[in-house]
Amino acid sequence: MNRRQWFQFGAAAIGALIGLVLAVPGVAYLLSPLLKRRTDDSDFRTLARLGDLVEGQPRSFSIIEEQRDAWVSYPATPVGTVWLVRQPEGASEPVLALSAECPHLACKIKVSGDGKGFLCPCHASFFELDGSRVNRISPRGMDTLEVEPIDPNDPNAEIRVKFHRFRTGTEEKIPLA
Amino acid sequence: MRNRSQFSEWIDARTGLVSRVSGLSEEPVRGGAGLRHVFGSALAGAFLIQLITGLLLMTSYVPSSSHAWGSVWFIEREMMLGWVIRGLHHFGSSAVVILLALHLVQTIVRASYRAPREFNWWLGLIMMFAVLGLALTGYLLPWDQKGYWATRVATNIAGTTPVIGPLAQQVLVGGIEYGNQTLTRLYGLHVGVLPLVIVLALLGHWALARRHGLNGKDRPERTDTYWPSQAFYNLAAIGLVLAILLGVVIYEGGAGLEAPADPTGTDYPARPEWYFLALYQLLNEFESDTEIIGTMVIPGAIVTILFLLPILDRLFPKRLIHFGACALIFGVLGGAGYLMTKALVADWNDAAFILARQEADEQRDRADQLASAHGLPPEGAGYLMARDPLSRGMNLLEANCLSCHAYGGKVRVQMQVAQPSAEDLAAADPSRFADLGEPLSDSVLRALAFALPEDFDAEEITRDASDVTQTTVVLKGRNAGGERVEAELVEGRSHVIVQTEAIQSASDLEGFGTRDWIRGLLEDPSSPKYFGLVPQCSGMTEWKAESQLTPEQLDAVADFFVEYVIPYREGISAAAWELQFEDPENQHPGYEHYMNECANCHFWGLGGADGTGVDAPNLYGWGSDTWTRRMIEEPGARDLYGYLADHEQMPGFEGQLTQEDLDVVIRLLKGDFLPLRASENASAAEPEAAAIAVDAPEQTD
Ligand code: FES
Repeated sequence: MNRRQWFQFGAAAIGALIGLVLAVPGVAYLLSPLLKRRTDDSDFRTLARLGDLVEGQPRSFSIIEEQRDAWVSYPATPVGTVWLVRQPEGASEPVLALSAECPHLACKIKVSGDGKGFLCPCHASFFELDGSRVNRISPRGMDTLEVEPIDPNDPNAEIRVKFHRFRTGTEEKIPLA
Repeated sequence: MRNRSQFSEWIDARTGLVSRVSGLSEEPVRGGAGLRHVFGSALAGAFLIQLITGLLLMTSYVPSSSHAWGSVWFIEREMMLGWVIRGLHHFGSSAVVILLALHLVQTIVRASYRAPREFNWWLGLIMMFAVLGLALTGYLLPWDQKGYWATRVATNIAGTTPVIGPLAQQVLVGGIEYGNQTLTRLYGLHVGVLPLVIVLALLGHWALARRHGLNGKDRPERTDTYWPSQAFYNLAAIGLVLAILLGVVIYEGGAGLEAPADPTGTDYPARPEWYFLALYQLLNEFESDTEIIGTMVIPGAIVTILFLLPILDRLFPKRLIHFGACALIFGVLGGAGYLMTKALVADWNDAAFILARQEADEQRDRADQLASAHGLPPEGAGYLMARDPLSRGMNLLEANCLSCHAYGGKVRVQMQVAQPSAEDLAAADPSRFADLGEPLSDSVLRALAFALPEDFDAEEITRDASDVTQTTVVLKGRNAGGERVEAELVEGRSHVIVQTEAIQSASDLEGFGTRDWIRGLLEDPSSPKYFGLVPQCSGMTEWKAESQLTPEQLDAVADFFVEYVIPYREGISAAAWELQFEDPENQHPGYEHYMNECANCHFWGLGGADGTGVDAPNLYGWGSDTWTRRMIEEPGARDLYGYLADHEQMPGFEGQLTQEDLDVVIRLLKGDFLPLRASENASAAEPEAAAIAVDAPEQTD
């Protein structure tokens, strides 16, 4: 190696090293949101009593939770909405819980004008009362949420639901960690 | 480059970039490549590091007085390697300042300010001010105690400029109060205006440097080109700077973050960053009427001379000016070094500073602990400490209550620092404490004699030499008022720290309003923890002497309080509340004992009897927030201690404490707070005791 080559090699090596020392923490820093896993601490929470629901008339309930937005903790505020649908007598589950978050692009789903189904106002996705798709705008039907088993004959039975979010725009229902 | 790829040919044909770059890089370096030429490049490199880390920080920082601290805390503690990025940026500013000074010295020594490089010199000076401006504005951005107070000082210095000063200050601060506008304005300067100035000036500076070539002696035998020889040295210099920076960041564990800015706090020991310490000390060198000499005249004169240097060079003999310029720059650096050392030594010897610094450290750790545990309140970082019973609550308790009450066995400890001058020491009488058993040096005896009043009654002196770095002497005794006094000094230093403990004359408030407190009271009302030190409240002691209740029955009474009395709810009338005990089925076992034993003296609600004629406060809702608040605000109310003579009552605090302040005090009494981190406690088993110790070093002059 002559003097010139030596300098060339050295300059390149040091330059690369400098770049690396800056790039590694820089990239890690920018990607921190990816590396942070939130533990699934969601729990069943009571939303209503069985007697509050009438068959064929979905009702919406707010999920109220303390929220942490980066460094700020907000006191309990609504973080999501759940539609509860009373099922006909004899169904395996007396209550169906559907997340109001649209699986298309996460707008908020409401009951359609005639009350016979659900409608997402953003891009006009229609869903049946059981959450299945009417048109093919949303990639999948409304997301069902887990409901704690209850006694269908006790109008005072508490309906307890586990709230969760799912990735939008996918055919599959993928929980967000 | 000799053999270009097709791709670079393609680019070159359209932009000319490749030829231009290779033209520059093939330029010969006058006198050969070497470390002589690296200073400018290293400076530019350090600036580039600042630019990169600064942009990264911008992606997470919020310039708002409520959330700046939180966002910086988040970068520091929650984001991956955020502390490294912020640390590099923080210490990088020091690197920039050091390299700037080196570059400046080199330029002057080589007389590179001479024609034809005048513009280069001026651009360099402009950049120097922009860099110092960056350092100054960056200091505030975290909106922590350090930045807040240092910026107040700096902007007030700007405010002393004749004529335009006050206006300039108001524009810079964005008003009269320091707040959101201060932050956004300085942020705008820090991330927008000043970097732009530097980048533009740097481009010009660099283009001119190319135009005139590097300054240096020609050495015909050396024929290096810029690439790769000089580039190697430059990169090596930048690499070295970065390596040192990284080492410092890792060693220091990041840039650190003080407690959130507290504009109401008074004893934060504000100091500027080290490179401004000389200016700070210069300010201290002058009395207030001549202060402007230190803040404006001297720095202004130096700056003017620097700017005029190329012109002076033409007007006067070149060698004379060069000599003068060298003398000036080394004089300034030497003077700055001297002033800096003086400032550091002064702080090292200043006990008040050390104590304030200690307290600031404790607040810093507490703020971090609170933020880690619960996050910040939505209203912002300012409320982090204000809602913490151990911080704000303990300060209020110390200021208002602990001169009579105790908390966890501790009363108010006043700290004073006696700092005798040489004459004071000479005048003091060394014989006063000479015969207490420890062989002490004359200077120690004199310092103690100076610090303690004539009527001080010495009891015990100890000399602790177990720490090799310092020997501590502690003298204990009582003052004329009978208060316990402890004087402490380190041999070799002249200041004495004198702690005076108040005399407890009322109950211990720790746990007031809880089951433990009431159970303890029922057990032993005459203990100093309860009413033992309060002769006017002897009723409970008299009751205890007569009472036959067993410990189990006392437990029942305490349980009754926990279940029915303390959970008082606003809005229920006492009569309605009492109705629940009408039905004998529903009666709590403690209720019966309460009625038989306590209700003789204590009214409660409407019921109860005043059978014995002994007066006592109404216990309806005792221990609830409402009851305790009333007790703090108007203890002399008819249903509380109104039956006592005025001078026997506790003074009321109505109108002196805000609702929020009352809340934190009450939470402190009940023990409703996040305990101090175990690792920071001397005795992890006793968090409360340690909590007191934390707040004990109160600063009083
Ligand atoms: S978001 Fe609901 S249809 Fe597009």
